[in-house]
Amino acid sequence: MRLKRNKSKKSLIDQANLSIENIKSQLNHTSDLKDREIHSNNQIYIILYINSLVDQEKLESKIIKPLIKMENNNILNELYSQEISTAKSNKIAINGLLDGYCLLIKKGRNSEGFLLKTNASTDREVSEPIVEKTILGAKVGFVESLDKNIFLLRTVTKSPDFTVKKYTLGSSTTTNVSLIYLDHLTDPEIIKKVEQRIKSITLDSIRSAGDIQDCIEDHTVTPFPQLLLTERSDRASANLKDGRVALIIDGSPTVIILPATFMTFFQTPDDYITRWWLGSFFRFIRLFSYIIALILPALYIAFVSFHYEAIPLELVYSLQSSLSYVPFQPFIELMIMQLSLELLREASIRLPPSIAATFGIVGGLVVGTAMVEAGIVSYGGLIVVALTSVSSFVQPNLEMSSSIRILGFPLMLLAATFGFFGIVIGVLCVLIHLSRLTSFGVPYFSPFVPLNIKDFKDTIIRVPSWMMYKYSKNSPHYKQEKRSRKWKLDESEEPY
Amino acid sequence: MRVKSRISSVNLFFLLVHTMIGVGLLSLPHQTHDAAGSDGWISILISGFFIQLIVLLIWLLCRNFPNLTLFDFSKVILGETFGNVLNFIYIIYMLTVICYVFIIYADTLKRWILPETPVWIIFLIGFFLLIYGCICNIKDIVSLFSFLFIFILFLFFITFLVYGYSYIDVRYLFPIGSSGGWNILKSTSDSMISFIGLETLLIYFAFIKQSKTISALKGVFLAVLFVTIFLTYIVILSTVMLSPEEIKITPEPVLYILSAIEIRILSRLDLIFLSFWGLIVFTTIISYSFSASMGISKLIRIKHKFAVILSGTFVLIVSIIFYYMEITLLEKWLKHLSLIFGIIIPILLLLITIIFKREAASTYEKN
Repeated sequence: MRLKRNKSKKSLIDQANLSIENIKSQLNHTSDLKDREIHSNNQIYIILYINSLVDQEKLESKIIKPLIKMENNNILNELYSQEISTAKSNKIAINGLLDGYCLLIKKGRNSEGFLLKTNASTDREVSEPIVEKTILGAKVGFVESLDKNIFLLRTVTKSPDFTVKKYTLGSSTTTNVSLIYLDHLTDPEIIKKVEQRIKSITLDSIRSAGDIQDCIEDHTVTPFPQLLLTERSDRASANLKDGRVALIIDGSPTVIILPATFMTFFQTPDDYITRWWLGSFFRFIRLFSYIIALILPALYIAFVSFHYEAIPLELVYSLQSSLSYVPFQPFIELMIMQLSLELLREASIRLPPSIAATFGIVGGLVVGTAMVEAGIVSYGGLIVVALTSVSSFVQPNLEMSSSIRILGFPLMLLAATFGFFGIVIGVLCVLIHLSRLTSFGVPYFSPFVPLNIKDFKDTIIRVPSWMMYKYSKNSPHYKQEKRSRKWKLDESEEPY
Repeated sequence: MRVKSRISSVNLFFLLVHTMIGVGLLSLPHQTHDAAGSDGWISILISGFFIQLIVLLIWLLCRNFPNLTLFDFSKVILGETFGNVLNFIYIIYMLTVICYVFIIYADTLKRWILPETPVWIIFLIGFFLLIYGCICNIKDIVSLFSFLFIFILFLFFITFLVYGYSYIDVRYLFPIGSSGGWNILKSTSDSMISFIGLETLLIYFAFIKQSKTISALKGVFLAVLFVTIFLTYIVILSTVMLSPEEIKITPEPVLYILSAIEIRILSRLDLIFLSFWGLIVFTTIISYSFSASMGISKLIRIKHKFAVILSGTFVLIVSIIFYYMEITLLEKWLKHLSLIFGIIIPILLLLITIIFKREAASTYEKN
């Protein structure tokens, strides 16, 4: 029955003639759909709008007032609304109404109506992003409104090549999505791929950026994220300038940046604000901490349970003294610690900040020391787990750091079974996997795989900005001028 | 053959270096010492030079058939039936090489780091890695190898640590040429086996861009040069570090040297060396089984994926049988087989091509 009704509804939507009755019935006579008749200049106008979506103030001052005072019949010259479009079918009219427009119809001429922009916006103020903090970067984070996000991006990316393409996704409820790129920098191949993939999305409704990510990423069976989610406008803008594409979803403060390679997740806006030595050092620390967080627990297990002879004798004594009271194998010991740490981590997310501090002390300090003193874990294990979690917090991207958590357990298992050899096997598997991943056709583990030393200048290190005169392989169309430090030549003096 | 992904000369360098450097590395000084005494390094240099010539011959053969691998052009040269027979023999040979590598690998691991682990488990790990590593196209393999090249350099670096701790006596090398010119030349046939991996060139040349020009050969020449230098370095290092009597009784001199030294934070360098060596050996295995599976998929017309699984299963079963029956024939065979398959057959094919003027019947793509 329901299906039948939907079907008949659909045929009504497609009907070309614009009629108020049809629109009303298609919107199920919802009670916030209001209409108002206005008699002006011997004409009867009907205004149709959804009460909850429309800014009352705008409607009154910009539409109704001029309509009533109108002296000639040329509506388009009299109305103050900034955006006026004609609606020729019920479908367009309904979509407009749902976007917060109001529909103006001249009575007697039902075939044509005007959609006038009167939408209310509940934009919150632009505030500093909570998750991605920087020290010196801009204090501007994205908000929930699509237009405002585009505004935020445009203000820091002024260029005639700034291109916005709009899509409407979802078959039962619709969501607006905008594709943004700089036309002269972005590889047309990538844009083509993105458009194709977005168009193929046939989800009923888009709940968040995650839905789109699920549909368009290259590989789903992998712990590595292939799209960068960010809530910072300066980060998004910097990536646009590197020839990447941004996807903004209406209602979501998270912007998708693509294609993202492995090293994209280790860059932060801070790197480019501080001097390049420091920026490069931060990069290095992040990469190093990633590796540490990945293999340190596995190394500990391998050395403690297989290769005692490989570590120096003094260390063996001190490790042994606390390990001898622990009844479990090192693998079980680390698993207990890791799991309790995961519990602490999950629990602390939803706690109010005032309790979280107390919780940290109780959970971290008290439980940790008590566990060691009770002989459940050893000091060595505690240090290893603590170092691991600290290293994983160093990662600037949440999803990248969670790939550590997913890969860490299998590596620990391999280390517990085969020792150091097992770690090497695990790392080899990860490397084989990484070397095959792509993100929109771009090799994921570039510039390491395939090896491209020229691209190292903005990945593993950050060279000074005047040295990045050639863009990476993915944006071959544009070259930066090489002369930013030409003054140095002019100023330099011969010593004699 | 329709070539979907092409590789450059630089890529060929990585492919060849990784195929050539493999299991031979550990026991090479011991073997050359058996044959040529303290002059083993000279025989390595000589055979390295020979290999350069052979590479040139293989290239001369392959440039007649652009875009065709050995498995394709053997049919053009020898006709359908004999070509298929040759392909079959080559596939069996390649699989035998993988079995040999598997057995040496598992044996070394068991003796040095995993004494308690049953060997079949190591074989099983190798089997899975072989399958995981080979189901892809050649570009993926190349890009993986180019990254893993860092680990070869790493092996190089580890041996530097030796100098600070061990006793080095350069006099062990002297007098140069003491074992006699004839003995050195004779031992080159033994040291040829350390350059095993050359045969894969017969397949990889099909993928290269502009295989007709001499620039295609540049990467190969450099690869052979690199391998020659690396092996010579390893042999000289072991000769200098260990007295002739010690080398005679140590099957893996490099590991023996490394296990003796101790740096502040790590007491067992051989463990690190062996683990990274394990990575390098796997590249050899992946490269060989990729080639072999390609042959299988062409021979019996199945998908690459199934061919990989087939060759992996074959290698697993054969190497388990050979290992537990303690058959040591493989090493003796391979010394001769590598000469036959790497050198003699390509030369014969080249002669037939020149004499009977065989040309590629079909080349789909122009360079």
